[in-house]
Amino acid sequence: MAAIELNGLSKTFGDVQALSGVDLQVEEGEIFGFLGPNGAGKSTTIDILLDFVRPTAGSATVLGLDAQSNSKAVRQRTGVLPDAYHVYDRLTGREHVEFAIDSKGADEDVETLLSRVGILDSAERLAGDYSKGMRQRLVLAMALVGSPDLLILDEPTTGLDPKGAREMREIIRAERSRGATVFFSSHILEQVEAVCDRVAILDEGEIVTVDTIAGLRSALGSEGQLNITVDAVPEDVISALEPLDGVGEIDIDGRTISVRTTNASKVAIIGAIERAGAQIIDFTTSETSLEDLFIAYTGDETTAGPSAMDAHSTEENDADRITEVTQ
Amino acid sequence: MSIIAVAKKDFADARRSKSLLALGILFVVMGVGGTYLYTLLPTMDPESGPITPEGLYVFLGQISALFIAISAVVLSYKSIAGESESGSVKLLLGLPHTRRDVFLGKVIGRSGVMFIALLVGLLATFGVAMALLEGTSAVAFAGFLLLTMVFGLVYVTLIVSISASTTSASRAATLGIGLFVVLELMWDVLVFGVAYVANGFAAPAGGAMPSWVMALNGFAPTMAYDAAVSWMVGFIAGQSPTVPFFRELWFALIVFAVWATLPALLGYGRYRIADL
Repeated sequence: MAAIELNGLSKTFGDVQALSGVDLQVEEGEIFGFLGPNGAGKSTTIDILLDFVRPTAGSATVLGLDAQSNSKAVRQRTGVLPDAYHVYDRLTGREHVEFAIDSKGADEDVETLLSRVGILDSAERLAGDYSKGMRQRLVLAMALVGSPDLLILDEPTTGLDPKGAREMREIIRAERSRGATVFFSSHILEQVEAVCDRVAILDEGEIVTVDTIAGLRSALGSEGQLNITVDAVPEDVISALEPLDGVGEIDIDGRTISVRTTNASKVAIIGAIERAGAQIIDFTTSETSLEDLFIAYTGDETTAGPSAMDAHSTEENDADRITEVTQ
Repeated sequence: MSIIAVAKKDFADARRSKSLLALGILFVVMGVGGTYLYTLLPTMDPESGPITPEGLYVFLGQISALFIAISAVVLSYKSIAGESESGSVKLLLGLPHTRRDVFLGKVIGRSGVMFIALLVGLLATFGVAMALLEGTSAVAFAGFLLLTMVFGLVYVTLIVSISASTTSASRAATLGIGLFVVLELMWDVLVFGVAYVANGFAAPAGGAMPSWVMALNGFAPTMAYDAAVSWMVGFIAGQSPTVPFFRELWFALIVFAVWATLPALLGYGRYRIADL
């Protein structure tokens, strides 16, 4: 049985089409990444899974239960870390978790949960005085109450520092080992890459692709990029490189030649450039990042390029992203 | 189970916000001050008749109604709309509660705050009345307390229903205050307006209103509360004075039931289908 099954799911807000005909199947026991730029419809999809909003057309089934007509039963077996939530400012961390335990009729120790997410020391403080990262940890603790069969996490690393993001991933893996299915959304590709078994990419309300990370890479037909700086770019370098096996897109910027390629072709490319009469000053290789895959699938040029990637990473304080390998 | 969890959480939140403390103090001041004021009536107005515990309840009922109504608005207007607006509803409904659980839990939680504040305020009032008025009986007091709590419950339910009907706290505030103005300040004017129009744009001859107009006038929750307290006072004193039907207890209870259920069905109905 699928943990989540979406069939032709559509949602219109006024005249804005948030989702159009989304089909998706998430298997039990997998960690599934739900990727897409901001505004792609990720939160709308999650809101439908939890019955916060109702679909215009199509159906959503969670743990074999209809997400609309049987929502309470769905949420009894699901742990939720929503997006754009607000904590109860006047209640303590402990009271938040107690409320989740009461609500689920669970029999669990508040302190064990709070210590698992690393905020036991702040249990008696009002959640309104928590930092963004602490709130995120608190709501994660609420989501873990009752050992849910499914965890739905909407942008879970928002507001977390690198250490927090790593702990979040460890908890996600531990929950999967326990047997839970984890469905989480992110616009930060490295988060997804680090833990997911499979990912779906959503763009403008439509599923663009569903695959494993490795599958996405090979589907794109290249494993990375070779950047070669030369003394002077030979005129016929493109015609010299194009016939080679495993050579993709070629870009020339000043004295740098960038070639999308498979690893096996790198030596041949360097040789071809030298034969064309250029002297190689330096070269770097980079693995295809999910960012590249993402851009390739969504055609979203606004986030393209290394500067945009850095901006993302700085914004989210995520030092764990896959860095380029410089040889 | 689920309703109780929501109610408990909501009560704790309201208590922490000091609204319980504020309401408790307000009702103590209102009850004790009102009682003292009532004992001064004969000196201020020689024609007001003798002071009695029964007279006190009717007098207190008239001032309490306004305080309770405005308190209910302040206490409850954000109860549901505020959670939708801030996003805390995503934590609330991420847990296994239906929207009906949330609605009923909110009514219970906020009513609990109202009840405890009223209990504290009116027990203090009872103490002062015992000291200042001869013949103050616990039975009559209990009757007054019960009717006042029912009135409080009706108003809290009404305002929670308004709060459920929208996802904007400011709109809930506007609707709540608007309703307060209509029911508490303008009701008799509006009813007179209806009578005026129904009479062919003329005031009824001799100033005597037809009984349907009086019944309509009695349909405001405050009027029903006043009628119920007066009826109760007479009943406990062993009198059964003939009053028009719209001043009888059964009519007041129907009015309470209508104001507690119809807006609730509308407000909950909108909440149930809302995209949050």
